[in-house]
Amino acid sequence: MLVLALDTATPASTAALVEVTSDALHGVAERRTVDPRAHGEKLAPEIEATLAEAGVRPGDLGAIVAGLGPGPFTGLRVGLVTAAGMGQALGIPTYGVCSLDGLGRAAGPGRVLVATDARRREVYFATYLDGVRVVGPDVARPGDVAAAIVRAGTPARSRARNSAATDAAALAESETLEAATSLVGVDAARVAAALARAEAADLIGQATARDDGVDLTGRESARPAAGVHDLVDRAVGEGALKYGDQFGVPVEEHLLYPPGAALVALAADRIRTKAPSEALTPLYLRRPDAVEPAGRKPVLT
Amino acid sequence: MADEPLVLGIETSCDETGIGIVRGHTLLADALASSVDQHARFGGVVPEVASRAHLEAIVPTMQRALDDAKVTLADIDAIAVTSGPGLAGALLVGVAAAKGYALAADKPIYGVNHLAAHVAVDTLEHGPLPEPAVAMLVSGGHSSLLLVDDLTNGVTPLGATIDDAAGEAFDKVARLLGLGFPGGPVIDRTAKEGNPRSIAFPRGLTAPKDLAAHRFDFSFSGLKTAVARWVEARERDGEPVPLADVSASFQEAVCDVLTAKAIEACRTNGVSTLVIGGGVAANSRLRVLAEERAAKHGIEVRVPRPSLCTDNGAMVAALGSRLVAAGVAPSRLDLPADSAMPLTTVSVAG
Ligand SMILES: [Zn+2]
Repeated sequence: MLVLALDTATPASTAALVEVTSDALHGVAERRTVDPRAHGEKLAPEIEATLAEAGVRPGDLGAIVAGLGPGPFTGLRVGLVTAAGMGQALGIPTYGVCSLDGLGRAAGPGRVLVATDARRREVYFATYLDGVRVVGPDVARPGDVAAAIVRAGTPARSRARNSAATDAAALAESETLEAATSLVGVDAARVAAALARAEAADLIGQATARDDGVDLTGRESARPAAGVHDLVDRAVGEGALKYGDQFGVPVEEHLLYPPGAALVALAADRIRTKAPSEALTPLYLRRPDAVEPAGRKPVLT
Repeated sequence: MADEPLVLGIETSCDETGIGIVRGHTLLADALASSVDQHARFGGVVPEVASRAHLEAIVPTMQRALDDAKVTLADIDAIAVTSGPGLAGALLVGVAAAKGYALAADKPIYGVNHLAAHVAVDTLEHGPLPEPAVAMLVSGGHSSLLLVDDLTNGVTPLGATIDDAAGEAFDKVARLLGLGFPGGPVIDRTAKEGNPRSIAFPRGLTAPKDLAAHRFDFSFSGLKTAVARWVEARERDGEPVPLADVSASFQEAVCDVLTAKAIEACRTNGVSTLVIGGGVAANSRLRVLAEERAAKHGIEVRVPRPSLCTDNGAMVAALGSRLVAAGVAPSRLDLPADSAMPLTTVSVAG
């Protein structure tokens, strides 16, 4: 089945065409323009060109996958409403995925920080272990990311904040997690990392948690995390590039924007099982700026 | 007439998500989702809230419009969308949606001017517009007098507000009087019990020295301030504020200036048709006063029904229908949303 992937959660407008078979994904075409103010102008011509390049007509599409962000709202909504309109016009399902997950998935094995530019000197971020999200998505100043990861603590707490992470819900019942959630005041991030390893191992059908030296029994950890570099080994995303000096980990400059194929991979199960179409609602991590007036507002100002 | 073009219009320039479908001059569907209730607690339209609401409303509103018109997207000949002027983020949602529909259904897209669409909507009610005509557009976002020589080709601005829009003045005065939001309908209702001549509020830009530079321009900021001063003086003296009289006198001041300048614009340009559009056109006193004054000079006043005066998708479809009929070239897929689109641009050239 031919699937169109769209993402406008970062300065990039991405349109990609991916062939989804019963057991594999095959990238067909992908176009990307990087311009934080031009999603509205660039995306539609890009979709048209991507389809034309592959000799595909809109009617040949079987599903659309869209990155739900987090990202600056104005651009983000362009991708979502375009996807929703196309899905409605073609009568095909639309599926939403977390844009940061696309980067995390593409980053592959290991402990990875995904950070994208949230403007106002903040980043949207999440951490991944072997491609699976552990903490986030959340928004913070770059200098506060390490503390936020530690604070997010165990996978249980980050999961509570991301109820959409269905595959994680299974883990919430595991004994390992129960042990971890009862911990207080320990090096929560290292515990989280260990747990996520266990989760990843579990997910890929391997054995139970590997022993990486983290004590899950509740004893105090000797060393609290000092910075992002204590928590992850590398970073991806244009936010990581912009604030790389503050994170102190290597940034992989080939992975700055969510790749279309990775976004489709995140929705592959839904696509294959023909899951019901989803309303595409942005991941709004910030509240609207508007505040309700406290009382009668003086007009004479 | 089934051979006339079937045109769909999308409107998201402010707080209404509108999708209309017309065939020629015939209105087939006018689906609307309003986020006005979400803005009421803020006392005005909040752009970010409006943009969120548009994104949520667009698909269901489209479905309602298609169902009401009993057509499918495949039947549509062209898609028109408001590409300006308006709130940038809100416009962008409608323009991107229109592109998604146009791409998927392989239809031409027309980016059109919101103000010209306010004029075009009258053709759905009163048939082809005699040209030239003068149009007065009064709403929460705009207050303009236009000379319409050829609706599909160009509109000449004659004047506009130099501060608050007329509808904005209604909103601010309603808030001042504690009447709620939006202000237009509540003030209209409250004024019915009041005396429009009880308080002499100022008529902005009508003094001879102002007329020299601002003959067809409006100003409502001074009026709003005068109302505020009057009310505050009353409250300071511990006297009750006569809401009906204040509403009626304020409304009279607005309608007096609007209609006087509109009729003058018609006479100066030798025009015998005045079209009034925008949310404030729904004001009952404005309609009566305009007709009274126009009749004295043999001018015909055309005001669409209230649901077509406020922002809606039918007006965009109506203008799109005129553009298709006139053989105007569609826009391209890189059509931008232009929050400051000039009146001289009726549709964005391809
Ligand atoms: Zn309007």
